[in-house]
Amino acid sequence: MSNAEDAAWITGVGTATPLGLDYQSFVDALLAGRSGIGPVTTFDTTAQPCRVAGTLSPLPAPEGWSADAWASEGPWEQLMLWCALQALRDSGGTDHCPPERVGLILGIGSEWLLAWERDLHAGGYRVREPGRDQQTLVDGLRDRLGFSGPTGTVAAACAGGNVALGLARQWLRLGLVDVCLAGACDRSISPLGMAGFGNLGALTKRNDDPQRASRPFDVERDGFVMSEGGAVFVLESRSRALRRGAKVYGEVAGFGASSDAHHMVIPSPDPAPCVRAVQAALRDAAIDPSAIDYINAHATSTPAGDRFEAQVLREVLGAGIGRIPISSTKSMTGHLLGATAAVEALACLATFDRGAIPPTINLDDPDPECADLHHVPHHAREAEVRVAVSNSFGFGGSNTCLILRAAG
Amino acid sequence: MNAILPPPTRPARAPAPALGSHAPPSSCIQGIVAARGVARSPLADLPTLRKDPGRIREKPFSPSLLKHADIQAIVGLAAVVRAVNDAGWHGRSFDEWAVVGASRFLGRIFAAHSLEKFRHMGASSVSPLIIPYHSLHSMAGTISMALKSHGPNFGAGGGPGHVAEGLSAALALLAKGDVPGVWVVFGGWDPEPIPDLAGSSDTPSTGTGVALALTRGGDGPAIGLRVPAAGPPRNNADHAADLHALAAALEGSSVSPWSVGWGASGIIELTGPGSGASS
Repeated sequence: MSNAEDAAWITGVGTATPLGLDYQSFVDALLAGRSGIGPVTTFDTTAQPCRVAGTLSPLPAPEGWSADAWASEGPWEQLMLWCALQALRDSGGTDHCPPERVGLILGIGSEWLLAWERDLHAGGYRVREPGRDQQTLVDGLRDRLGFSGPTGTVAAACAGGNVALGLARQWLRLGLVDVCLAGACDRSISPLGMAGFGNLGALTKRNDDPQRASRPFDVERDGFVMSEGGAVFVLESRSRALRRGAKVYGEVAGFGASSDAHHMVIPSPDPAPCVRAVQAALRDAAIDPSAIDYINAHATSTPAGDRFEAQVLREVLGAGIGRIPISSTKSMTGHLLGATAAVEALACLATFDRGAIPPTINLDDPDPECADLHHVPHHAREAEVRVAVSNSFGFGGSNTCLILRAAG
Repeated sequence: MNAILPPPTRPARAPAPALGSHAPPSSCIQGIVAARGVARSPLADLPTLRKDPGRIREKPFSPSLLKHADIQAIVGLAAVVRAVNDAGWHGRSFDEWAVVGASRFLGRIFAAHSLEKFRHMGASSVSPLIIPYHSLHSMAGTISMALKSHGPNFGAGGGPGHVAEGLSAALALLAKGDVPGVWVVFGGWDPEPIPDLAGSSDTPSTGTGVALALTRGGDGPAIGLRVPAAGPPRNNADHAADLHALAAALEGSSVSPWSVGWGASGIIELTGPGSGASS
């Protein structure tokens, strides 16, 4: 039953981001260079250091749901259902697979903290009532979807989506599942969440100019912009996808991860551990750096982080750093935190079927310490992309790299 | 039934399919428990444990590592220290090892205090430490720093099923073959503490940390994950007992047969010493 030699193909996608509530509208916005950032209006931000973010528009009831039933779902549950149902429909469903052979693994970062906070704002005090904490979001989603296969919640802060996709691929290769839903979701834009990151000094202070606030690699960047959303993918083996004639978006070709072992928040001054993650992913995908056609950078728009990533890429790519196009789609989406890696994997898939690379908007004046990168500023660029690299790094010194390859 | 369109009302847990309705997979992923440690601490003793969770190579951990770490991470780290010392691994490097941190409801006491402060003093009172140090990734991050491990680190589980989810993630990572070993560290409280408003709790809770050093070969009991065709659904009481069962099995003079469900359909088994299983 082992599929060790079989590629893990993506045959369905579902998403909700500030740029759009489905794959096509998300990609259209990315390639148009549109910003999804605006003032936060869902709660009072007067005392917040940062008052802008990428927020989701209301998610309408999916087909088959009554408006009342949908409205009774919490915001996290709605987001996860939205993405998963869309991905399942897109893949043609899973009637070809028994429910116990369908896995589900998602990157979810701070679910209990945010659940406790949400309840507090609603007048409750769930954090002091442990008996109310009965089931993780992922377990709840599994039950709703009627699956009974392996289930997992993983968290590597902003790298959780890559970990989920890497483990899902591994489950497929080990023959533990035949089909696996994997990805990540995040809804951390809350009073406590924004205050926590704001007081950390990590967020932009460009409150008067939200659409230009997220500016990775630009010399005037001053912090990241929080955002919310998610992406869920349906993964199955190449042979299974071919057998049933499934539509294919691409292959999860490689995954690498490492730890800084330096500090919970501050990236290591030594790029070596992070270099190790990218090199491990390339090795896993059995490709040379020269085969890379596009890099979706982690670049969050913080002064130190973007410079650090440039240093890492310089070490991995050598002279190739000036040849391989690189962009940070966070310039448009903002930083989706726990969901960012999954949404950026989706941006990579878009380069395969649209033949274009999304830009880094607001990159008016590249930081001299990042100037040797082959940026794609302001406007999308036509390109044939067959191999895309997506970096995601997180608190806890967690470094990850995902390699996506065009199928066929 | 594979529900593409779930019913608009909350369904009951999907019934388990009949046994034998599909052929069970032949694959089983396994690892060898090369070292193991269990640490327990009453909540009231946590300040003492935070100051000194033990030493590896006779060296104390940096106070800055311990100062802000979540209390589950501290108990988990104490379990790792015991495992390292019991195995006599005093000079061993874990440079390339991975760390999986499988906590259960991590951060509750800190969160309660933060929420209370926020309610009365607003946004400026919120600690910048809350997300980095009190979220699901935090225990793995802390332990990777303590061990100077540069392999992958991430959190798994976070809720009632944390034991099974942590093990499944660790075994899958081990089977990939990129790392020589995986530390999988579990943490949880019994009973779950009810926080007071000042960032403490009067609940007589005991924190349990369990650390397993998993490798692909060598001596030790094998721990394996098997995915049968179907299994009965488990309730939360079963899940909550997992950490105790694992700790008890590891602390026993001999390894007892022990199993725990993975989701609704998988079985993780600690199958006995010296089986020589490999992934």
